[in-house]
This record gives sequence, structure tokens and C-alpha cells, in this order.
Amino acid sequence: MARLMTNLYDVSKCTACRGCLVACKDSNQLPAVMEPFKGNYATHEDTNGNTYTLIRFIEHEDPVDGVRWNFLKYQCMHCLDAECMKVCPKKAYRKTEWGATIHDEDKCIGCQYCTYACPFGIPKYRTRTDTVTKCTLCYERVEEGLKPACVRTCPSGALTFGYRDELLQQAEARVKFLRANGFPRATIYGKLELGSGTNKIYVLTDTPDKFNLPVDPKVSANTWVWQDWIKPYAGWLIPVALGASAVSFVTNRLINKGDDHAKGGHE
Amino acid sequence: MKVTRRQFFKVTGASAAALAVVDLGFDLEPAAAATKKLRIKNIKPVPTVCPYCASGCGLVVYSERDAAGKFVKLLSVEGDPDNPINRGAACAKGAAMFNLREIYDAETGEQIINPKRVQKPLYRAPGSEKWEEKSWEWMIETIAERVKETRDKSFIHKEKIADGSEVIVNRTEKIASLGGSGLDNEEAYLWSKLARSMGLVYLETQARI
Amino acid sequence: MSPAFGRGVMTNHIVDLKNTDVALIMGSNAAENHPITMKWLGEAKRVRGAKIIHVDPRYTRTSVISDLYAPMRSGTDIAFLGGMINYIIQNNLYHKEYVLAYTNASYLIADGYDFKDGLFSGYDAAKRTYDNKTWDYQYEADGTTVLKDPTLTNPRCAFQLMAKHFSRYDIDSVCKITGTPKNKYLEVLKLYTSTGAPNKCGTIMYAMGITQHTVGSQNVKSFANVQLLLGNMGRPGGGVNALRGENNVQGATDMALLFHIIPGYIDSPMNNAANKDLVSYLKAVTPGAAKLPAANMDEFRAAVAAGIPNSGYKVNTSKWVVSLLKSWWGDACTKNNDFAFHYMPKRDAAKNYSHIAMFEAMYKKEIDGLFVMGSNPVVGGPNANKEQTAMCNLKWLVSVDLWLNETAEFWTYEGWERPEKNGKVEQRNPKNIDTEVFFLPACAVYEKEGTAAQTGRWVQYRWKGAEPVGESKSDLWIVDELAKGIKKLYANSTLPQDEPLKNMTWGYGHGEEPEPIAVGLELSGFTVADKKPIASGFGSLKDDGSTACGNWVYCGQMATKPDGSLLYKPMNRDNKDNSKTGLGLYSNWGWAWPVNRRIVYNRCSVQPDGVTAWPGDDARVLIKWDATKVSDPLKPEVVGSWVGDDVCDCVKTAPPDKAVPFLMRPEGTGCFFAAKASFKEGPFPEHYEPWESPQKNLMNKQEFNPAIKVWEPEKQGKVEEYPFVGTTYRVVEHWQTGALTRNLPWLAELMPNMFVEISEELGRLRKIENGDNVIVSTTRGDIEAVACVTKRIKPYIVDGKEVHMVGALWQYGFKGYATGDPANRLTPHVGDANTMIPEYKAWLCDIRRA
Repeated sequence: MARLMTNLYDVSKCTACRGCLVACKDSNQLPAVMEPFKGNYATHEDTNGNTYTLIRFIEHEDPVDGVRWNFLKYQCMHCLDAECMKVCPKKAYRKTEWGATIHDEDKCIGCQYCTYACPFGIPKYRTRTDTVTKCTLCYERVEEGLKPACVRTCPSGALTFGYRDELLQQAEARVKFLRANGFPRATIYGKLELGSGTNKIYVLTDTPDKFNLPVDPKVSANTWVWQDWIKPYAGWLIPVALGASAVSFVTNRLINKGDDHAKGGHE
Repeated sequence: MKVTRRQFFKVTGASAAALAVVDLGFDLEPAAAATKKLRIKNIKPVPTVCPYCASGCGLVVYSERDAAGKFVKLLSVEGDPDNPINRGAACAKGAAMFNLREIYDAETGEQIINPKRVQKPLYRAPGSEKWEEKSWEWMIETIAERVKETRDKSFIHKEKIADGSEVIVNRTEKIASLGGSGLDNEEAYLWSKLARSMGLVYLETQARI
Repeated sequence: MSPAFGRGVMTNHIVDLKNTDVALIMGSNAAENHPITMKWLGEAKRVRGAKIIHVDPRYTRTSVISDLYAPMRSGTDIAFLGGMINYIIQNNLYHKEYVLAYTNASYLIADGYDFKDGLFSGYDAAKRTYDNKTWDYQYEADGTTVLKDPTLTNPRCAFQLMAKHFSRYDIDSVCKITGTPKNKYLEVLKLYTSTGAPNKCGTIMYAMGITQHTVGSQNVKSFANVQLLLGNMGRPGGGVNALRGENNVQGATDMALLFHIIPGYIDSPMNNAANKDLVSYLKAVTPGAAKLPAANMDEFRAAVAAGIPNSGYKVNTSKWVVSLLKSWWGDACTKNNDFAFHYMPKRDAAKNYSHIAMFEAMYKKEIDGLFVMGSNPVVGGPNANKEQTAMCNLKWLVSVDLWLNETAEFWTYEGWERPEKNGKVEQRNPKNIDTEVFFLPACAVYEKEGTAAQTGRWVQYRWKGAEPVGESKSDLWIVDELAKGIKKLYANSTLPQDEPLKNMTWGYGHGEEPEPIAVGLELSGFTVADKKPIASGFGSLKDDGSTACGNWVYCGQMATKPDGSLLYKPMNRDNKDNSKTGLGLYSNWGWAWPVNRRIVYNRCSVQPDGVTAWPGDDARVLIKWDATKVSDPLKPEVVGSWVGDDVCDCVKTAPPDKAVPFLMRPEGTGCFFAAKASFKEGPFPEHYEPWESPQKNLMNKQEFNPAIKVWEPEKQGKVEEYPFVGTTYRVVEHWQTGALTRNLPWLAELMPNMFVEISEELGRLRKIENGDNVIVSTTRGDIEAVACVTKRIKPYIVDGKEVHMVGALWQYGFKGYATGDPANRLTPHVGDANTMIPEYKAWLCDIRRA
């Protein structure tokens, strides 16, 4: 495997200008999704089929720190051991050698199993293309020598792109600095999470829960069943592993769209 | 796919003629199985400056052109990596510059001209509830007539001042002008020249508010 | 700023922020409204270990990134900064050598000058104005040489008077007014005043949070005093840095799209004896020239050549004025017709023509026609209900914009929807609005070419990256067509009053489209005989009609290439830092006015001797005196020159003892004491409450600025009815009135609706929960908005009482993808005493659930 490359996101430098969110839409040709303002600057509560990355705005207050306004850029974590890849019945996901988890819309049948399996709830179904979609780490830019769109646009320097091992060293130094300078609970996120870590590295100024991140992200039980036990047997076992309501939905898609693709010669 | 270290392209020192589009210190050979191609590959970026706050960040415009070099459609607008002020960065506003001209339709995802952009001169008659499309020629001629009518009717050529003498004041207080901070220097200058030659004294820009 | 330093511009530039040791961001939400500043402050933090302080009524995205945040009640900046001035003086923290050499601290002040009960000497209560004749220096018998006390101990010296004036601003009194917790205030004082050390530089960054007050100019003057005391002016990483809000508001101001000036910051002519002909006018606008005996241009020129005491560099004003007249009226501007000076419109000296005054006049049906060039007063104007009503009195309106904004559609049904039916605004309907509206579609910034001056005075060229949409056109084309169309109607006129239009030179380029570079040449200046650009800058302009220059501050931006074609310097794209010490001057990127100087007042970056760096600060020296250098090979007898990475902001060949640091000031120094007509309300800043305030003035007996014009006394809200402080602001996702962002889906989705921010405490008091719809009311109007109830806003404890604040975005209107009521329907028609900038930032309101 080649040397991993990724983003380092340092929340202590982020001003939540959301240039990353818009640059992502520009680069990936994504339309706006209008939702009304409900009292939080983050009008997107979650990623969606037309929004691969977003910024969370979270207020905290305690007697020691006073008011804190935590920002968090949220997108695909590009897990090194990616569950989406394991569960996809059509092998639409793959890893680039440098660590991006990318998804081939031509292969995707929109079954959405990955959306349930992802420990971060990232992939989302998009009606207009009838596929699932998510952040690609801008592999098409990176492979032509450009930074990912979000990194290129970041005015404050919160986002950097480079080799994962080097960025981890930088992150560790930064955490050390932050701990000594008013953020005693500063931590790295993504180094070891999910066992092997993610191919996105966060420097957090506080514990992950203060950013609404899972403190110990876990792969759902269903996934383990699918991956290690059911998958080797064939599609007919799917209903056993899934909740009843999802059964017909997923199987129909698998069958119908799979047929279309077969006819279209994609496989 | 193989990762190789190739020429180190640095953004500093690049000139207008050779705008750097490569901003990483490493380069990768294109992935054989890449499902998506870089849309701005080999497209020459055109440098401009952001029209929002006055920081003066540089932006580059990528557009598709036909074989004869004629503009076809917009591809992307990004921060200008050569500009020393922003070094390729752009906030949400700067990053949204593509939308100033074109948008992706929410339903279909199709690229269309921003429907809010006005494409023809519009006229609203007194008491009317709607706009009507007019030609540029008609608009310019009619506005010139209104200016002349109002100016001539209200023009103060000479005025008696406190010491009893008469001075030429050449002004009209019936026509006013507002705005201009969004204009280019050349535009603002010409407007200043024209407005003052018309005799305008109610001349104000956003600097006041 | 002009009264303190001589120019009203951002002194340093964006990239220079990386050279700072401490940044004080006050009255600015830089992270949101000037996001790229965070890149360079981040660099300063990373490389220099710099600290950022944010002082603001709200905890914003800028506060998050700061090392220290201190809340301050809106409208109490002078108290906050007055306390800092006092702290610096009391604790001897000022930069002594700097203060002595580069400021007017030692100047003795006239005996008649006095200050009592909140009033300076010379106040006329009936007229609400001052007679400023006592706001002056003491002079020697010659009447021009100022008396000084280099020991700074004379009780009548500017320094001692300043010390006395601000001695009342002790920490407890300040915190009682501002509502800042005392420990936070002390932290700010300690951290920021640490930049008084000779090897430290602190920068102050401000924006409309400072200027949009009835005391806006004096707020800025307070910054100036702090920075001069700490020796932070004219040095990298220092400065008083106005972060301007519109991409070319600097350029539009330079071009004088303002009533009180003509291009190049020269007062516009008025209808009085002092302006009756060119020589009278030049005497009036050239500092120190008023009493010159010169009766004609030849005599005036001789007087200038001989030197005018206390004039500063503005002694050259006649060259700028005549070259401007020449560029506008060409052959019709001659020595025999007073260089066509009478063509220039003369405003009524007794009248004010500023934004508020314009709409007051329109409201009284005094204006028939209005051009709106990419502006949106129905959203952005103060007391927007009144301004929208005033527009109904227009006979015609020309609106030039990309979008049908709220101003272009002020007459529609939508435009008159209000959340409350009450007497505050008369309801209109299109059928009874008789205004003819002409909407001219302009093209977008990257669909045309031209230059713009950013906040740090860098002029950069924008190339055309796309074709205009539909029939939309560049503003240059539109202005050109209008000019040609109007000139045509006057072509046959024989009336003298039509000569300014008839004889106006016009013709830019060769084809249908006017060429920006042709305008750029006129702007930059040329010799009349050969039309060649004056590349050497404004020092070469003449007042005999042999040079033409549309704006002297832009002189030198055009040069000639070796092949004879024009070199438009804003097109320069060499982004190598020319500074040997890595200061990030980028002098070959674009062009900066004046004469490509990147940091103004840079004479202060080196000690008075002109050769020694400030102790421990060698890397931040911008220029130095080289006693052996000959700067002009044609004048080998002139030995000695200023050299360095930046263009010196002093006379290049003047030796250190003659090279004054603030050459645009008559004094040649930075001014603590702002003499004579500098300000309408006094030579030193003094705290007055906003026009509408919940609090009595604790500092003196005047409630609000005694020198402001009160347009609508009956509209002054009272605290009993409107108990909360209202303020307005912006967010990063929208720009100004939102016309250029609420029409962009990607930005509309991020900030889709109008909202107001209140504290959890105020939420409980008014039973408002996060996300509720609320009505905010003032005497001027009512708006509906979504409530954002947040921990980031806290009530202020002011003089022992709890004061609540309602924060309103002012960027919404009824057009576009993102909509909402304009907050300016709430704001008052009252402005700063000097600039007339409206008091958007502090007013009284009430809030309740809708």
C-alpha cells in the first residue's frame, strides 16, 4: 500500500466560514438544499445527497471555560477499514491506494445498506440519481496534483492536506500545545478510532462528545453479521439479516437494479 | 496505481502567463480506474478579484470554451493560488462565485443560468404593477431625456452669495446618485466625472453608510 | 483618522497582519466579514506567538478564534479606549521616544481651550455646534511656529491635557459604563499595552462596529491615540486598520462618489466667497494658504514654490486640482477661463447632502430623479421604512444591478407587506406610486474587466472569465452609453450652463466597448502635449494645464512599456515577496496608492535618526536613510536618500531631521490633540451615550454627542417603552444588503432566513424559545424574524443594572432565495457629527413572540 494521504482538520483554527461546504458543492456540482433557519447557524443537520460536508455549530457553557462555541467540519472519515466497502453488495466502493474511500455511482444500485452500516452515518441516498453518494476526498483533484476543494479554499488554515504519518505528527504537536494553552482536554481523533483509524485526522479542543462525535465509534452488529457470515452465502439470506420493513426495499433494488446493470453491460 | 514523486510545483513565483494549477508538493499518476475525471484539467484559469468584502482575494474562473475559444459555459470559480492575499483560499461567499452566473437545479442537478439574473432592460411605468422588457436603445434615450428635463428645469447656474456678488454654481439638487462601491475604479471614476458634469451634488456612496 | 495621521485609509494591509504581536479586533467581526484576515493572524500566531483580542458586544466567530474575548455594551467604545489611554499614561507604558519625535504630544495648546461637563470650549447650545477657534496651538510671535515643551511636563502641552482629559476614565468607571467584567478589561489592558515596548507592534482592526455610531469618528480617533502612544503606527504589524466592507468602496471613495470631496480627497467647491474662483478655492483647500496675498494663479504658484508654513504635502493641491480640471474638460480648460473651475458644481455651503440628508430631502419631495448604482437602500439604508416611503416621491429611478433587488422593486405589493399594521409606516400599493423605474441589467464581476482598490489600497486588475448573461452589460458600458446619450441632447446648446456637459472630454477606446485601460490612463495622468503617461507619479503634476490627471492619488499607476504600449500596473502579477526580511510587501503584485507604498507613515519604522532600528526590531524596518546615495542620476548634487523595501512616506531626499513622519498633516506629526476644524465635537474623544440609550451618561452631563444633527427628535425611543439595546450586523454567508448573496442558492441555503439573536436570560424574560417567530419594534417600525436564543449573548451589568441586547442581521429583504424583513426598518435617521454615518449599531427596541 502506498503512503496514505489525507486531511488534517484543526478545530482550534476553524472559523466556520463554511467556504469548505460551498467549495465542495462547486467542485462536485451539487445543488443547494434549502431548509428554513431553525435557531442554529448549521442549517444542515446532517449530510445529504447534495451536501457532502457540513459544519456543526455547538454551544457549551460551564463555570470553568465559560461559553464555548465548537465548530466541527463533518464529512466522510474515509475509515481505513471501511464498513461501507464491506457491506456493499455491488462492490461500488473501493479504496484508492492513498486512502480515499470512493464510490462508483455507476455500480451503485441505491440499496442504501451502506447508509445504515456507516459508523458515522455519512453516505446518503440521492433521489435525482437514485444512488448513494458522499465525500470522495476529491480524488480526481488529488490525482491531478490539486488539493481537495475544501482544503484549497480554507482561509484560516484549519484544513491541511498531506501524508497521514506527517499530519499525525503535526496533530500530536498541536494537541500538546493546545493542552498547555487553555484546552486541557484537547485530543486527536481518527488516529485509532475503529481500531485502525480513519483517513481524516481531527485535532479537537475538547473531548469528542463536545463535538457530537461518537467517543468510541462502533460498527453496527448487523454489519458484522453481513460481512463475516451472511455475505459468503448469497442474496437470498438478506431478509434474515435485515429488519422486516427494509427487506422488500433492499431486495427489490438489488434484484431490479442489478438486472438493469447487467443488461447495460456494466458488470 | 502507483504513487510517484514528480516535479515539485510551487505556487509562489508563478506569473500571469503560467498560472499554477498544481498546488500539491506531490503528484500522482492518474488512477487507471478513476470513475471521475477532473473537470478543470488543462483549462486555463482567468484571474479576477472577489466582489464581496474589500480584502481583495484573488479568484480564478474556469470555463469551457469551444475550439475557436468562444465561451460555452462556466465550470468552476476557485481561489487564486497565485494571489498573495489569499493564496487560493475563499470563504463561503468567494467559493460561491459560480452561482453569480450559473446554478445547479435542485431537482435535476442540471447546470442552468441563475434564474434571478436579469437578462434584459426592464421598465416600470408610473402606477404599473409589472415590468416590461425594453431595448437598451430605448432605455438610454429615455433616461437621457428624463435627465435633461429634470436638470434643465431645476438647474442653478448662478447664485448670489453672502457678500452680494454672483457666482456660477452650476448645480442641480433635483437629481441624486447613490452607490458605486461595487463599481470598478474606471467605472466609478467615469460616473464621478459624468455626474459632476451634469451638476449633481447629491452624490453618495456606501462609504457613508 | 485623517485628523490624526493625515489620511483616512487602512494604514497597513491584509498580509501585513502576519507581522503583528497583538491584534486588537474591536468593532469588527473579522472572521466573518473579512475571513482572509484569519489566514494572516493565524500566521502571526504560528510564527510569532501573537495573541488576538476581540472586544465586541457579541461572542462571534471572531471571538472563538481569539485568545481573549471581552464583551462591551454597544456604543461605549470611547469609554473602553479612554480607559486604555489612561492606563497607558498612568502606568508609563507609552513608547517615549516615538511619542516625542513623531507626535504633537509636546505642542502647547491655546489658553482658551477648555473642557467642562462634557463640553469643550466654544459650544453654542442653540445651534448644537462649536466655534473651534480655541482648539489651536500656541504660536511664537510669527504666528506660524508652534510652541513646544519637549519635557512633556507643561500642563498646557497636548500630552498633559490628554492625560488630564482621560484621567476620569479609571477602570471602575469604565466597566460601570461598558458592562465589561473588570477582570476581562484588565486582561485586555495588560495584553494590548504590552505592544508599547519598542520591539513590539500591535495592530487594531476595526470596521462598521466602530464607525456606525453618533461618535464614530471619535471612536476611530481613540484608536489613533492608543496607537500613537504605543508607537504602533507606520510599522509592520501595527497600524489602525479599517477593514472596508465593499470590494471597491476604497476606490469609489478615491473617485469621490461622495458629496463633500472631489477625486483625490480635496473638499468639493461651495457657493461662498472662499470658492468663487480657482485661486480663492485653492487658498481655501491648501492648508496654511488661506491668508496668502496671491490674487492670481501666477502669484499663487510663486507662493507655493516659496513654501507655505504648516501646509504639509498638501501644498501641492493646486497641481492636483488643475490637472483634474484638465482631464475633465480638456481643450475647454485653459489659463484664460480659470481652468474651467466654474464648470465644477458648487454645493450649498449651508446644506448637507449625505445619505440621510438625501432621503430626508426625497421625503420632502425635493428630489425628482435618482440613480442607484448597485446599491440597495430599501434594505441597507437607516430607517428603511422612511427611505422606501421617500422613494415613492421620485418621478424617476434608474437602478443598475444584476438582480431586481428590493430597491428596484420598492413599489411592489411584496415591498409593502409589514408584520404589524400601525401608524409607523403608511401602506402603499403600486397603483398609487407614480415613479417611473428604469432597470439596467449589469453583468457580474467576472463577466467584465477593470480594476478595484482593496482595503489595503492595493489596486488589482480583474480579467474577464465569462460572457455577460443575456443582454446584461458592464457598468463601464452603461455609464459610457449614458454619457453619450446625454451629451447628444446638449450638443447644440449655446447656454453657458450646458458647457460642462458639452465640453466634457469623452471617448475611451476604439470600438463599441469602452476600454478600461483608456480610462486608467486618464485616471493615472498624462502630459497633454503627447498623451504619454506620467509614470513618475504625482510629484510631476503641474498646475499650468500641461498635465491632465483624473485622480492624483492614482498618478503613476500607468507607465509605458519598452515597446511603447501602456503598462497598467494593477495587472502586475509577480507574487515574490520583495521584502528582504519576509514582511510580505509584495510590491510587484498589482499597484498600491499612493505611489505603490504598501505601509503608510513608514518613516516611523525606524528611529528618528533615520538609520537605527527600534531596539530589538531590526526585521521590521521598512526604510532607512542612506546619507551617500544619489537617488536621481540627473541630479548628482542631491546626495542622501531614503532606501528600503517599501516606498518611503516622506520626501525621498529630505534628511532624517526634516523628513516628517506624517507628511499629509500640516503639523507633520501624528496628532493626539486634533486642532481646529478636525472634528465637530472636540479635539479629544469623550464618551457620550448613543442617541437612544438605556443608560444615563455616567462620564459627563451630556447625554448624547452635543454636535450631531437630530433629524427626527420625535422618533427618539424611550427606555420605558423600548427597554433593550438593538444592534445590527452581518454574517460571513451574506454580503451587505444580501442582493449579491441571497440570490445565490449556495449561500441562501446556509443562511436562509432573517433571524435575531438574544440571550437565554432575555428569552426567559419575554418567554421566547429558540426558533420562535418574534416581532422586534422601535419607534420607526416593526420586523418579524426567527429568534436564535443563544449562550453567546449575555446581559450586561451596567451601573449595577441588567441591560439586554437584541442583535439583528440587517442583510435580508423580500427578494432573492433567502428572505426576511430588513432590520433597517428599525434603525434611526441619526448619524455621526462629522461623517454622517448612521447609528446602526445602538438603538432602543422591544421584542416579543409573534
